[in-house]
Amino acid sequence: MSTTYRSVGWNPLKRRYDAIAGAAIGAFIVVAMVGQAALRPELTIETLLIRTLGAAAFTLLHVILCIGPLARLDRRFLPLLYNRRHLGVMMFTLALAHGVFSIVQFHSFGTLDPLVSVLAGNSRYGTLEQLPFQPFGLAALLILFLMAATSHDFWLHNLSAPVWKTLHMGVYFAYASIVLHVIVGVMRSEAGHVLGLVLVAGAAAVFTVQLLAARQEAAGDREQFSARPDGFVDVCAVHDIPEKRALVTCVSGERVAVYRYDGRVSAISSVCQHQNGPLGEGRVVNGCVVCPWHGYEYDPATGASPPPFTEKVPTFDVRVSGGRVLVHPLPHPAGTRVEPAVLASARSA
Amino acid sequence: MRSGPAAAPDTEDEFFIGYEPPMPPRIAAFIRRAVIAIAGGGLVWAVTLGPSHVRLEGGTFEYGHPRRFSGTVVEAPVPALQLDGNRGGTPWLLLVAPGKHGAAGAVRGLAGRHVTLTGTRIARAGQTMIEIQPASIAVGPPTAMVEVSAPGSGPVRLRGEIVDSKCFLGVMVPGDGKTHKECASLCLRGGIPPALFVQDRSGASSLLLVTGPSGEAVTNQALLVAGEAIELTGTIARAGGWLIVRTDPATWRTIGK
Repeated sequence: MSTTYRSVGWNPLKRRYDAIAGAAIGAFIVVAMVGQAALRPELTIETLLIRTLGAAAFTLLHVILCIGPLARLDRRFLPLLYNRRHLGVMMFTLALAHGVFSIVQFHSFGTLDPLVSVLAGNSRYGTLEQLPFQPFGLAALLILFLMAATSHDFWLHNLSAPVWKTLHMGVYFAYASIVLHVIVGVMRSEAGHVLGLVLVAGAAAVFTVQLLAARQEAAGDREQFSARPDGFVDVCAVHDIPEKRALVTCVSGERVAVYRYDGRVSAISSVCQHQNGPLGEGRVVNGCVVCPWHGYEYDPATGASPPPFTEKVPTFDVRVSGGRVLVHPLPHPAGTRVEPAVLASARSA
Repeated sequence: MRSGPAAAPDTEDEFFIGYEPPMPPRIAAFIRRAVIAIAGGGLVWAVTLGPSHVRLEGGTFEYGHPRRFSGTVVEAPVPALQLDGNRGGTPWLLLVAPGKHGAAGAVRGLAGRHVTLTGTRIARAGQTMIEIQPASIAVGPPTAMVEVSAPGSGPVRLRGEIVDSKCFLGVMVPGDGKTHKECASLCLRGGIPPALFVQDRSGASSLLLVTGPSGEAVTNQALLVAGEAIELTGTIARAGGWLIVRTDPATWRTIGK
């Protein structure tokens, strides 16, 4: 966490993450270039670069799109999620290089403006056979640019987490646009069956993990409670909640993280103010709930980040009665202190 | 009611915080295996990238190795150079300018004049083109030019792809097809001679320059269908060792490949 904006808040893990990602991307580019040059000696260096950079960017996009749902399905993937934005910027850089090389190669040094050539060089928009493929790539590149340009926490805070998240959901439009770019372009003339199979396998992998994660989320969001006369709902037994962990429940449409820690129980919103991360999948460390995505911290009693940080989440009234945990579904404004329910075991200690 | 995501029981007590190294050991071991699997999959795909594309035909572009050429300028039907001492044995060398531009402007008014010039050779299957450096053209006296041509054929119907002759002969690989369509259009728009690439069932291929019925340029029509398979009707003539199809664009019809 940081209270000031720096270009990158480096730490050892981020350095290692970027070094490994950079090395893997570099190895991919070298292996792909050397392999193609050996097998397809007729190719020019420009064609090798355009193909390889495009393939590297598209492959990395698959990895990026799978990391989120994989981390939802198995929290051991969370370290891959931690610095995913850097992967996104790397992927955009590869895509930009692919686009620039393509525009220079195919659309420059002529009598038309290169962008005019990209968009109107082929006017056969009415035919599937000759449908231009470059506009799909350009559209994807613009979306990826917007995402890369606003990837910093400065934009996250100034746009607000919901707006920022909505903007960054554009990655799915970018992905669809790139799939069309490949199908309408290279698949129409230069591709063998292997490329088609790889494209289908990649899309199937992304679709499958997204679907599984969405199903898990939807199952968790089903409300199964009826309110008692005092308005509280019985969400679980105390012993259902592991020490320093939370049980996430959905009441009145809100995801609520019910934390048990040091003989107490508190309930706060399960939506982190940073990137809407799942606070309920975090852990209490040094008295604070720590978000599993990027480590943002909140006092479980107040829902507020410890000073000097300013993030706040809504809190909920909570009681413990007869070994059961009761939560009132109406949230208090973000940052409102709610006394934790004290467990009998803690009182007697 | 819902709980957190499924996690392996042995990591239940481990919690990863990015800014607090080191990573918990069992999570670190898992991540190590995951990264190796992802990187390994990526490298297998990188190796497969070559075979996943079809083999392309290409020519030679001696970029960065310009040479001096001398001969007699031909302006029509396309700018070309008849090399000195050539009395019909070697086809004309087509002339184009740098970038996606033809050489008509550079050789205008020089038909039949002897020139020396510097340019870069582009060649494919015995057909050669020179990307000239326009400023290098040194004009000599008029010379007696040997016209190497044969009478035209009767009407023929051909199927093939309209390409720009510069990219097709070797500047680009691929120099034809869907991915090259816009580049071909741009080249034709810039004055590079259009050509028709035809292949018969046995795989034998020819490249024919394309003009209108009277030898006039058909640039505007050709750039619209560049990169596409078309069928056309015309007559075939030979000039300077090149086959030329003289065709009325009204007979052109796009066909699926």
